[in-house]
Amino acid sequence: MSAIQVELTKGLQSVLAAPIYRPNDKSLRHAVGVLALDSGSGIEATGFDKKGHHGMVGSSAALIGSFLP
Amino acid sequence: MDVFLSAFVAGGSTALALWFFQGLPDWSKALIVVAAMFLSGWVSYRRDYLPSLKVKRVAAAEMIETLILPALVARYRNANPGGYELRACVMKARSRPRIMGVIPRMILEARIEFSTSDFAPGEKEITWREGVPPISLQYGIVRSSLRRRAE
Repeated sequence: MSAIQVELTKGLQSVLAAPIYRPNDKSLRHAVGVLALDSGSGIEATGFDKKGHHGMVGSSAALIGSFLP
Repeated sequence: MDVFLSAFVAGGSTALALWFFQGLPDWSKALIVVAAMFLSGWVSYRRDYLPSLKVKRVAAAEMIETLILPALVARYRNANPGGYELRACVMKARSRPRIMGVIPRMILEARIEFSTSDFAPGEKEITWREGVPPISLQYGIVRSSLRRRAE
């Protein structure tokens, strides 16, 4: 990582990320991007490990995948 | 005027081609024709396809920036209230497989490139990481960046 990248990410404590796929990619082999939430707060505050939150981010990733050029 | 100009150009170029092709071997004629077709296709691609692709990208980035990410952050905060910082970003793959880039309009602070090998086939479930450094754990190859504050 470069110095600026270290600087930008050093405060991150938790990350929740969902791969973005095209709607017709049933095999889920070709991610076209990633939707990520991150925070300087810990996982106990952000709740990134809760299953219900995973679904929320996953559905947004699916929506983005449907129109990403 | 345009019609006369076009006719002049077409006639002139035909005469020039006939003069130029005289005495050339067949294989070089074929090569020139193929090169001309390639050049014509390339010019057409640059003129027509790339701008429309750029418009689509900007439109998608605009929608993501103004609608989807703020809505996601708001929904998340409703579902998980508390006084914590929350940011959202989208990173888009480049045309080359395995190397990921970002959406141009979303470049604010940095850009992150990563490998799709970090996501195994079938791993549609969201992964999460706690602790430092989450970027190197989750995104693999990091080069430059692209981060967007959603609020």
